[in-house]
Amino acid sequence: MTSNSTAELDRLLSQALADISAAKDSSAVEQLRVGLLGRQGAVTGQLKLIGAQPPEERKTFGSAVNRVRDQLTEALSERASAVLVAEREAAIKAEQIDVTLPGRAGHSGSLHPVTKTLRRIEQIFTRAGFDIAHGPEIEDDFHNFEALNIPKNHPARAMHDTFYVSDETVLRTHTSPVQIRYLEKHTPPVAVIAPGRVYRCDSDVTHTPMFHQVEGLVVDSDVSFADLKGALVFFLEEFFEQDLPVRFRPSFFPFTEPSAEVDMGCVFCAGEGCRICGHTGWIEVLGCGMVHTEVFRQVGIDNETYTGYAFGLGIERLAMLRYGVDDLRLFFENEVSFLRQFS
Amino acid sequence: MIISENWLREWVQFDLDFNSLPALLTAAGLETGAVEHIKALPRNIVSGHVVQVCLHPDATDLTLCDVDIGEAKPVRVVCGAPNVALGVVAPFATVGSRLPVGEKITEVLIRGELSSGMLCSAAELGLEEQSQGLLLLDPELSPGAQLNDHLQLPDRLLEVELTPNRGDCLSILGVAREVAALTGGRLKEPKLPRVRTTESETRSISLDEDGRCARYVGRSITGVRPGARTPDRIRERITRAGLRSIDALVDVSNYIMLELGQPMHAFDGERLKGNIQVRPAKSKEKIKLLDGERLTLDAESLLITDQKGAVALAGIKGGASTMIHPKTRTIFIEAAFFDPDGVARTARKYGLNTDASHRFERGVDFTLPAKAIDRASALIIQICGGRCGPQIESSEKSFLPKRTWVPLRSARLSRMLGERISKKKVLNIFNSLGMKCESTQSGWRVKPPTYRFDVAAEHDLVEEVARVVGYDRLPVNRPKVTAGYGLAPERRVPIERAKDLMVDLGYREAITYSFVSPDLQKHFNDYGSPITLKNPISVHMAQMRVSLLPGLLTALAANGRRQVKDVRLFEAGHIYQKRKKSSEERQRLAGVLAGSADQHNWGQKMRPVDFFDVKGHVERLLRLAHREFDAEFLPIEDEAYQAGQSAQIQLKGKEIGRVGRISPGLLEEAEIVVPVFGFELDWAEIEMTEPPSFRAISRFPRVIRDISIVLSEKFVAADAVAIIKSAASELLVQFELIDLYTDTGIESGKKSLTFRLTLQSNSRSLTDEEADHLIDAVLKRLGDQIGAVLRSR
Repeated sequence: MTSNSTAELDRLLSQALADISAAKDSSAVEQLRVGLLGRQGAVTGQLKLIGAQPPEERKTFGSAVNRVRDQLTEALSERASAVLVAEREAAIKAEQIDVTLPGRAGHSGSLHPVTKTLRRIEQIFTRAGFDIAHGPEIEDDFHNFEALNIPKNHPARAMHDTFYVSDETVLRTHTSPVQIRYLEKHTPPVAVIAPGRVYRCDSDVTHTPMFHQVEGLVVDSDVSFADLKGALVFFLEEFFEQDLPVRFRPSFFPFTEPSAEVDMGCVFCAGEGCRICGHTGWIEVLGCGMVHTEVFRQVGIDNETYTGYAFGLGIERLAMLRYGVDDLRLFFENEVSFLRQFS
Repeated sequence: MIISENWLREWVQFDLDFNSLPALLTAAGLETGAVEHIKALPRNIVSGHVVQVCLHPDATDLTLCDVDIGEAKPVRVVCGAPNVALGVVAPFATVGSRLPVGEKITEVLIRGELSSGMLCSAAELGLEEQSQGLLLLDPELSPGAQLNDHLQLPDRLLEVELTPNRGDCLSILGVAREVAALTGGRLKEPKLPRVRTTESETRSISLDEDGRCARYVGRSITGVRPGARTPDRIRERITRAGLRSIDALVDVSNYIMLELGQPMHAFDGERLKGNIQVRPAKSKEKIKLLDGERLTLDAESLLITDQKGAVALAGIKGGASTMIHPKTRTIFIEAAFFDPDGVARTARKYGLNTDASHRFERGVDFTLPAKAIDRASALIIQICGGRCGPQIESSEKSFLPKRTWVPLRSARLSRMLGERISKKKVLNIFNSLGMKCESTQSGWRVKPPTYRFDVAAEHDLVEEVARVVGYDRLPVNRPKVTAGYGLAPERRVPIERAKDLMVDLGYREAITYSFVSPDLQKHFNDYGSPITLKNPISVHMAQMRVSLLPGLLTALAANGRRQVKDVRLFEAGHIYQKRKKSSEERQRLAGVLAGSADQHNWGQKMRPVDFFDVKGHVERLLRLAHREFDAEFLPIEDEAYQAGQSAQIQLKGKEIGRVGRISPGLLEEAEIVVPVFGFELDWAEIEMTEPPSFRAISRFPRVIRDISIVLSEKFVAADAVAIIKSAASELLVQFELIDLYTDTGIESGKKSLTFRLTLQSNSRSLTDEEADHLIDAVLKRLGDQIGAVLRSR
């Protein structure tokens, strides 16, 4: 082996190592790799010279060249990864943004509080096995009044300020006509709720000419007042998610007897007495009772075989208590500033 | 019904504190509000006799009065009351006293005159909300007398809200009965002096044949003192009950009505001519009522008549021709039993609601009239003097309400209440309510009293037991849960799902009134004929809506006025259309939107909403029921929408909704100044879908080809889409319109559309030739039918 070729190899190695460590980016590293180890590369050129060496020097030279090649291959790959890491870091740095700037979100929507409340009510009762039914809002006198034991001239008609479409057609004043319509089509046992819009010709601070009710009806062979109490106590507990005192007091509805109104401990003052509950500690939440024998007679259900209970609750009223809304009229003004609070 | 404690305690003795009555009565079904207190007067407010009145030298509306308050010398005060006069007696607040309303009385100079005390009105004493002039007291009161006993002070008031079935409690007596039953107290009747009959004047009374007046009792009283004064105690009681004091004779009738619940009427005995006949009105018969109102009656109305004609609308209101006047010397008083239904019908027909009709409609104890006449006579003689004629009565027993035994089975009672109530307890309950009750083999039988009109059947008795036991003491059964009942069918997409999507698309749910302004609705002419209310709340709420848009636009306008710029509102609800004899209600879903398409963002230029935003939302809704590919959007002329930016949406040739830009005319009507887009869908036509049905997944590669075609502007995109759909085979698994271009390189009057077609087979890899073949077929059809050519690059 000539000292000449060894010296050349050494020079090549040290120059190449210096170049590699000076390479600034991956393309420079790649360029060096091609210049050294590529087909036309300097080291490749040396490898080609191995065969041209005298036989006694071939082995020594060959192993020297191979050592150089291995050394450079390793140096190149080390440098390549080092450069890559640096480059990635630089790129990451360059792509840095202000992550506190707001994202691109769409407009936000929301359900009306009446819908939110009704959905809760429906969930509770459907879990308890109730069907959901609907009836027309433009209703005939028979279903809205007569069949519910409210004959013409009955003083109870004065409790309803009725909108008339014609002498015999009204905007329903309650959801109770759905009781009749449901019983005309179904035979007991039945358990059903009927939500919907109802209308009273009345408009002031605490009345709107339209509001929403949910009617409930259960008819079976042995339904008692105790079942009615249980269903409603259970409902109020679930709806308000707390144990509230509930009281039942006698009242009058032509289509139930016994009839009751249900009061609940005031959620605003915990029963201490405040403006909202009229300083009584109680808030009226719904009306109910055992289905009147006359109602069963009207729909051809035998009063001896079956008993039943019915109830009617105001959705806005429950929404007001649940969400603390203090003005009924807000529900129908549809101001975004109100609606957005129920997102 | 307002109940005074002092008055009530005259009728019932009970041991309970008055403050606990509201809870007790409420629990028994007589809803009662909080107790209202009327304070006692301080000792230094006394009776004052005005012994001299002269004008204030420096003020025309003031007087100087010397008032005798039982001291050595009268006291001088300045008084501004219009009814002050020599000889009147009024409450006098001495210097140093404090009025119940809070004011302290001091010596003051009023326009230069010293005033040492004050003559008071009822309002200043806290007896009335407002009052005019001095409270004039009985002249018999001695000067300087204490006033508390005289004015029944202090007192406490209860307001009982009675349900229509409890007309029996529209009196002190009725509430006293209930209190006695609930507290175990004792009912009593304050005694009045016996009336002696000294006159013989009588009239014959004949009743109508239909039995609408089954009992009529009357009496003449002659020689009453004209213009007699109502005693303070009676005036206080009727004003505390919420009635106005008018004159002694009317006040006594009202007093007896409040006390017993029996409405009464007093006629001027000289103006009432001859015998009395109760009969139905003749058709078109006229009557002038005592408040001056003139009615023309039909044959359904029941009248009290004398020789000359109608003198009262039976059970509702007296007539003008025979009314009491300040010079009345002879009276004829009436107490009767009228059929509740008849009174209700007539009162409703003429829009009259009087204290009398209110009671008669609910049923008045038919044994009361004689007692009422006696008590009223005694009071009249006491107050106005006079001499009584005989009590005359005419009754038709067969028409009086019957009171028969009503059975109550103990098994039924337990079944209805969910608990067994002991025999003894049931007997006690009915006895305490004044109902006869006897044990029978199956339970009990009960005879309701003459004052109850709501106890006629077994269920009524069940209610009586329940309310006296107390609803709160009855058991509570937790519901038995029976899951899986009434589940909605899977193939129906519930409107609630659509509402959720609207929320996710940035809409807020509105609930607007079902009745809208005809002015807005006139822009919806081809939406079916609207239903008009006979008695709307206002002219702006007179028509039932035929579209949800008027309500939504009104809400959008209101938000605009509150400077809300980006508004998206939707509503799900019914619309109402008139049919020949009836009406139809349909479930609709509608939305309106205005403002920018996206939420404002720091890095993006804001784009206002346009037709394709709202159409995209409609397509998302249709997608819920997999209808997006079946739906066709066809240009439409509709007054509510702007022509050229609106479409009718059809499914299989049937209209299911409309979408577009709201027309300038409608916006102007709704007072909106920004562009608004909207849609309305008939959800019932969309909601039914097929439950998913699995198809084998193809494992073979897809071939994607974009084709750009040039066609005349007169064709719409849907034309090209329809042709592509019909020309392609089942290999076309997906296609989209990816570009619309009308600029450089495209001949004017033409446009370029680019479609991306995705082809795939279920059984093999498609070759290029197969794909080319299919594309060529599509292009040929496009060329033949709408003259579309492949765009050259």
